[in-house]
Amino acid sequence: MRLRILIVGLTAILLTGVGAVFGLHRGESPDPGSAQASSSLSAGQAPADQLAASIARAQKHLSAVPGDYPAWAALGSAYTERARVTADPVYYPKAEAALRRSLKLRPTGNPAALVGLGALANARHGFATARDLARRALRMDAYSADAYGVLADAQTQLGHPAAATEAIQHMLDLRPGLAAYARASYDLEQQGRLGDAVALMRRALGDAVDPADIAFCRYQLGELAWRAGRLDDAETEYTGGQAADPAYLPLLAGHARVAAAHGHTATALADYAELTARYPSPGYLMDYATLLRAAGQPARADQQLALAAAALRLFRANGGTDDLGAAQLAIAQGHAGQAVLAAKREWSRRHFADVADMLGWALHRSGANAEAISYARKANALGAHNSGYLFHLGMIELSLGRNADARRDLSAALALNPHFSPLDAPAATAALHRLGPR
Amino acid sequence: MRSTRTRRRGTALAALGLALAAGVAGLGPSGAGASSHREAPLIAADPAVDNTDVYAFASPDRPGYATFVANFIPFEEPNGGPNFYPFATDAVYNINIDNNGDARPDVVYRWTFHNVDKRGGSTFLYNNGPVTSIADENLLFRQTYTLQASFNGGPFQTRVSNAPVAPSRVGPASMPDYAKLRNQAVTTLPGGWKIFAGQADDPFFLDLRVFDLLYGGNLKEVGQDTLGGYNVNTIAIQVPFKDVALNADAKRNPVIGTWSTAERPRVRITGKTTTSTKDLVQVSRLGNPLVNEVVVPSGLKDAFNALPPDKDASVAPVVARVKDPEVPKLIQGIYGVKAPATPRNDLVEIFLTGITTKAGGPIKADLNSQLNNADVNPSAFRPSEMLRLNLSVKPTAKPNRLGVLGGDLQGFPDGRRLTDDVVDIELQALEGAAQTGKLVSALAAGDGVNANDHAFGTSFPYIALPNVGAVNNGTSAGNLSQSSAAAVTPPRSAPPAEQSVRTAPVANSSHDDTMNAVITATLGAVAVALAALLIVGWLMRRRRPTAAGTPQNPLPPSAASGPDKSPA
Amino acid sequence: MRRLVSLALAALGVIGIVLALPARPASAQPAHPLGNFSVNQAIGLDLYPDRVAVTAIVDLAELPTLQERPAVDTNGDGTVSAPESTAYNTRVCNAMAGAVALRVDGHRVQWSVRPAGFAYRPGSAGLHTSRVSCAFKAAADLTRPATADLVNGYRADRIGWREITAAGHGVHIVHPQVPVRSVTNSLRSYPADLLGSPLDQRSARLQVEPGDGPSAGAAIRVSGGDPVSRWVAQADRVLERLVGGHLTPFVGALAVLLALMLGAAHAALPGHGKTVMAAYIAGRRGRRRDALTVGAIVTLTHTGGVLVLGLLLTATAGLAGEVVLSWLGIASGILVAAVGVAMLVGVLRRRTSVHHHDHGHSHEHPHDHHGHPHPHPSRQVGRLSLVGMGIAGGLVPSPSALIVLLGAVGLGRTAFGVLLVLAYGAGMAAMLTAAGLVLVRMRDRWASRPRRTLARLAALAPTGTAALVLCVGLGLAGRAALGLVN
Repeated sequence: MRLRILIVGLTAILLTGVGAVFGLHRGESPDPGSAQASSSLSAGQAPADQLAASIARAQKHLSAVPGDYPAWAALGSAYTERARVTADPVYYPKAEAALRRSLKLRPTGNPAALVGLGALANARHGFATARDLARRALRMDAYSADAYGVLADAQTQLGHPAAATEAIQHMLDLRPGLAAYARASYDLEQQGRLGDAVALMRRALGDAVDPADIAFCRYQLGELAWRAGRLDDAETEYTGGQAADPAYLPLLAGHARVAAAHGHTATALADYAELTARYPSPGYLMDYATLLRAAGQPARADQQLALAAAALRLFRANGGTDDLGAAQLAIAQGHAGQAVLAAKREWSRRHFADVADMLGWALHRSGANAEAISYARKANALGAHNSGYLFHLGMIELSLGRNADARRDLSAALALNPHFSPLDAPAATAALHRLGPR
Repeated sequence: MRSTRTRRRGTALAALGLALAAGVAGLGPSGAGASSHREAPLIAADPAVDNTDVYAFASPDRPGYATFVANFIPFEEPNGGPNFYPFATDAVYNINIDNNGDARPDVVYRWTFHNVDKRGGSTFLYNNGPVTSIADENLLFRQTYTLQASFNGGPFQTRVSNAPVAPSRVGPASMPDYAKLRNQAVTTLPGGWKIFAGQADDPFFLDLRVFDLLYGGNLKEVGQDTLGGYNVNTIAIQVPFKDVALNADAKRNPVIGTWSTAERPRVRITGKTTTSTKDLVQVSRLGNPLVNEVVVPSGLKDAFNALPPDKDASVAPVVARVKDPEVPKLIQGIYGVKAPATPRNDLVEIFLTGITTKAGGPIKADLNSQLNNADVNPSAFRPSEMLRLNLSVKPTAKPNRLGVLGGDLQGFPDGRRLTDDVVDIELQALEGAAQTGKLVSALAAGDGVNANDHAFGTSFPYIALPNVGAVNNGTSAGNLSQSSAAAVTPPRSAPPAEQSVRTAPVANSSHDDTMNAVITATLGAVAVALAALLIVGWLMRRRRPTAAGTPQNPLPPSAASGPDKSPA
Repeated sequence: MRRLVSLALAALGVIGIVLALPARPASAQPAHPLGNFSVNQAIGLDLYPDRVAVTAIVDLAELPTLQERPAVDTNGDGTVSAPESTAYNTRVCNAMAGAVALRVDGHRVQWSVRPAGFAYRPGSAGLHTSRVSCAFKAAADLTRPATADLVNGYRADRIGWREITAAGHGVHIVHPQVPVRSVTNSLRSYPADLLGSPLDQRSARLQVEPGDGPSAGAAIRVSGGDPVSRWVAQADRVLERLVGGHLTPFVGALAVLLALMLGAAHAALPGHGKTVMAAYIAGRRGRRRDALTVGAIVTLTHTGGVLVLGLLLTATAGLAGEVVLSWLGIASGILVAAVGVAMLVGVLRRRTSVHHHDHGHSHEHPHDHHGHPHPHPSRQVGRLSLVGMGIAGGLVPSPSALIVLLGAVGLGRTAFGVLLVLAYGAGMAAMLTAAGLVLVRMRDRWASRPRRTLARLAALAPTGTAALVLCVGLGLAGRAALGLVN
């Protein structure tokens, strides 16, 4: 009996021991081809850019060392960046979760996570939240260029241009590079210093490494050229951007606008169709609708507006507010009263130039021209040299009978870019005609 | 064990719940629905000014000359096809030297790079044929540099312009004899200066997993050179001692401090500026290795990068962290090695003043502080973080990778040679080895990586040729020998940019076979023995006539059973 | 003996506690769909020796669904009628069939397309999402090794989750790049994994070889509905992972222990002739020794069977594991039925020739106090029956053991796999022996407390149990035969 037990026991130990011996010589781990798919980038695609590579590295590292809170914060920021680049909103909740994980691991003294949350808030239009987060981060780390970047973006959108400029200067004094130059360029653009803006954006382009960043810089250079009416330069930049990153969607919009300006309406419509199929944002859908209406297809234009309305509804259902987009849509659909309400709501949140312009135009469409002109003037206060703003201001002045001002502003709008909008540019031209010569 | 299991399960569930909640509740507004506002990149990669390492040592093959090496752009994939790695042209790269201890540069060597781009926007190709010399017309994109030097705050004087930069090594087909290109990129000036700029094998060797220690990991899985197989961009200069020493006298003033910086021009969009009024903005800075990883707390890394050394002493949290570091406490928690008592004035000596007896520090040795220079004004001395080298220590024929801690005074922290194992040295120093003079045996293995994967050269610039061949399959061949394994494609399961550099080493296959044979034989024997045992037991049970002889069946008395008696 | 029994009971107890632990929670949680304008696709490949079948599913989020609406509601009346739905389904499937290219050894196959469904589902903000299903079939010759390249170019410009799965039936995929099963349950629930980016598999290259090969396990998998079987199945998978993973001494020892436990656990599950053994012991007054014997023989047969079958499957291409198992099942059933017949015959013979039975042995009936004249079973027949039962019980190799062995062989760790199978067998032996001993003990106890009704039942025992054994045997054979036919 005891012998039996002894035998059984010995055998078990022997078996186990031999099993341990197997483990002693470590062979190469075999190819886990038969395993369930890991949901990281699949085998056939090698990421061609630094951002995707850094995301893959961080994901791998964090599965081995889950306590690495700086890496979680970096991953969250990278996800936010990827959402911006790919226009794929699935990365926003991932970014938020990763950043909150970083904060959970290190609740105090973690400025990087706060900066990441601030950048995410900006992406989701929570500009006041972003500003507060950036300020908290700066109290912890006064030398954080990223925090100044988030702060600059938030202050710009909130309509505090001086604070935005100061934040950008801080950024330039801490870490001059693509991020700082791009923001400085936008700042100067809003002040109407288009030549300097172009120079800075070229500097930014010189520092760009990732294809998406090169595409971004070239798109902005294209936009600056478009704003100044230099259509060929704009086309060159957009094409160059597509050569660097064919998947960067705003370039399609740029192409479409240039094509429409040249009169190639069919090409422009096809580009917009492709763009809105890939990225049905309300902004692009409304631009598409405008073009369709100008091309004499009102029914399809209304279809696109219906889609834009659905997109806005979804955005609201997900917890966001976009009264600026709602106002623009209402104007496009002819509901001026609703547009005024939405624009006023947005104005109460932030005094940004775009909002002032939208509110002024909405008021004009609802007939309140006296009120409208003050907002239209606010929009132009910084001297932005924006054809759209000038057109709106000119039309309001026209309605108020201020013909000289109207002539000046409408001419300025067309002088900058005679094709600035498929519907508004002809309207401006017609209005100038009606005004007659000076 | 079950409580751990339950706890772990609970944590897992909590994490899942968090993820789920985040997925549903935290979905938030998707960018798709928003009216577009300008979104610019925020964390854009800026590798060209990313400083990875600084080395300073007395040249072993050229007595009386000091060599300085600074590396930039980490994780350069070799053989990256159309990827090549130029230096930034809108930045300047400096090697700074302070020889009087006031934490301001007394000598600055500055590289400025220019592109020579013959591609004209019509092609993205780097070269359109084999490149056999550095001026070969098949090389469509290359760079040149201008070297300037400034002494004692004087104006910068150009020493050479349009010097060639060794190109990125894009493959054996394109560059069949890269060593020749490398030699053509070494510029010798009258007066004996040697200068180099170009791509090289990353000479730093360490297992980056060591830093997991800071985030809950331990040193269990180390031994893999995380940087093995990658390239960097290098600037290097070799100058006579008298050009860097105080008063040009290296005998009286042998100690110099050095650090490298990258700077970009300041841009002003407002009337007022917010920091200094200098025209250049420092965008990176590096002296001693691993200071940012190990010494500087995470909220101060930006400050450290932005500040010049003469401001270090004024940043109280950095000094506090040097005096009370985190790593020894972690090591005590994990390994039980007692952390030395704070304040750690020995670390202050190593990192901030140099090892000297003149500053009242605990290490009783005069090695590498500017205070030991005869002509230094001690009252002007400022503690600052920089790599300090004593030029009077003669280079040894057999360098010890543990430097000063291994008894080799020519090594880190007295300067830094390419072969110094700085991770192990710093680990030991953090545990007080510099103070006690004895290595801590529990950490003797360190990060398990004791040498670079390539040997270094015997003459300037000493760094190995850049790698070719993708990083993952282990054939980071290339060097002075042109290996044919260079163009192997990476295994399909791991695309090159997705770094799985932590693969286990491949076992020796013949050893495998013998082991297998032995084990199979053992198993066979065991199985046969088992079977035989059972069968014999069975047979024996049948044969034995009485219960007394069979201890296997001690039945209770009421269950008297006799053994089997049937005829077999 | 008591100690052995207590040991056996203790083992049973441990196994019982372990089995009672709840299973691990599933790793995939249902998550919110991937943003409101994604077009997600799942391509499920099924490879057969003579054909390829694809199940293609497209899951459109709210905005694409809305964008497609005019294409669905072609007459613009605001409702989608059944013919409109079918027509749209057909159009999408045809478009997809054109964009999903499968090349077998370079030759593109021609799909025959069958629309398999189109439905709207409620989404957010009062909008709908939609789901389109298609089935493609194409003839392909996979009776010899071939390379299949799949490229999914459908709606390449839309963002969304794209996955590819591939399963072989009668063929196997060497080093598969894609999984067998969808991680999203065919686009129904997306994993919320912080450390994973959405799948974007647009192509796959598969090396296909005939026969079930080392991944035969995937086809042979036995699914159990009850928690115990599920736990055991999960433990199987853990063992497979250990076999396939990074091997350290600790992992090796752990794998062996796990194999031991699994062997015991599988032996505890229905199968391996426990019913038969129980019946035999109860009916034929089996002794502890018999329990041990049966346990040993089952184990030896089982281990040998697994090793032999594993060798055959590895060495011979074209051998379908399922088929072999079915044949083995039939053989096992027939053997058990034969034993049952032998038992019945023995009972009948005893009934008719009680007085001829006195062989003069000394007795092995431990508890013969009932007063009923128990005939002595013939030891010769008895031992053969024992052996027969043992062989029958062990004849059908346990799929999990087979999978572990084949997996290890496929990874080049043959010896380790053999070791694990041996450990598995040892675990089985322990469990079966323990079960048998417990049965004997119970029966003895039971028999030592005579009760009238039970005594009467006990009289019926031999016939009843013989009949039971016969029925079980026929049932086993029949089920296996059915499995073969299907």
